[in-house]
Amino acid sequence: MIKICYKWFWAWDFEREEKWLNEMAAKGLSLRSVGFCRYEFEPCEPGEYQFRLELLEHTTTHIESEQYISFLEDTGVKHVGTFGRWIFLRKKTDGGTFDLFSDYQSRITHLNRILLMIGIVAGFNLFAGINNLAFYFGGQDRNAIGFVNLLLAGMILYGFVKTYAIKHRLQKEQQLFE
Amino acid sequence: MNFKFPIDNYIGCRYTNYIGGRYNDRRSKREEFEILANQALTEAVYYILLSLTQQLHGYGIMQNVEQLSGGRVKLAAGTLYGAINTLVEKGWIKALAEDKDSRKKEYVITDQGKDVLGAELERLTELIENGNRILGGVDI
Repeated sequence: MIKICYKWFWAWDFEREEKWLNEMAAKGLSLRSVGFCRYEFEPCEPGEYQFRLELLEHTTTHIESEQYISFLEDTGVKHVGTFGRWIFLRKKTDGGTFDLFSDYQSRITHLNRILLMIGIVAGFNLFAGINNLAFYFGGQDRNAIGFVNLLLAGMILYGFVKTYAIKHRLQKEQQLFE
Repeated sequence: MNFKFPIDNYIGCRYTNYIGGRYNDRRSKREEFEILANQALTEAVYYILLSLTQQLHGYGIMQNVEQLSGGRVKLAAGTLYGAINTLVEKGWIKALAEDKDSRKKEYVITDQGKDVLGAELERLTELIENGNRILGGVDI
């Protein structure tokens, strides 16, 4: 029986999203496909699968992404869904936890990818917001949609700072360990 | 210009080997050489190189490293993929062009990679000898 859930996750909350997908898998619902805010589940054995997300450097049509996904599949990881540059991965639980990264450097590289993406979106919103409000407060006959931009920029900046703090902590650990 | 760098006698003349030629070439080759002799490999890279003394595909490397380390070092797929690409770029391993479309791409260590492993083993031996001398206790 296919179950569909509608949920929104911010880009920087990808670990919360992973946690939720794994909780669903523990209950016997395995992610089948993904759309915008839309998650499709199919029944499975409770705890049979584990899920991870990764933001790729390029979209899935790029040759590098295809090679990476093919490599993952050789190690038993199945690519179950895509959203933009995000890929949703599933692996059968066979002993340990399913992790994509086992050292600090690759986790930092991944976080940098996310930081760059949300940084650009925040920057754009900040610019658009200030631009729009400059005209609005300058007496021009325009709407004040700039407030929405600034609000969005603010929320994204919050996520940026959260993620940056995690990255910083990892970098400090890197001084001592791998 | 592609200069085949002679590495086989580095053990004897680790810090004083100069290559003939113009000053710039000489200096850059010496720097490259000193970097080679001085930098520690990460555990993951060390074990990947060690595993690839026989040809293996990605999953094979993961299993081999886990077995070599008694289950302590578990390479994750994402990390392994990045490491393999970097190692191929540096010329320390090479991809075997068996079946271009075949799913399982295999890799093997190159001569340069073997030299790097040799240098690393020496470095580790120095660490152990000093550790044993000062703290005592590890059997090699």
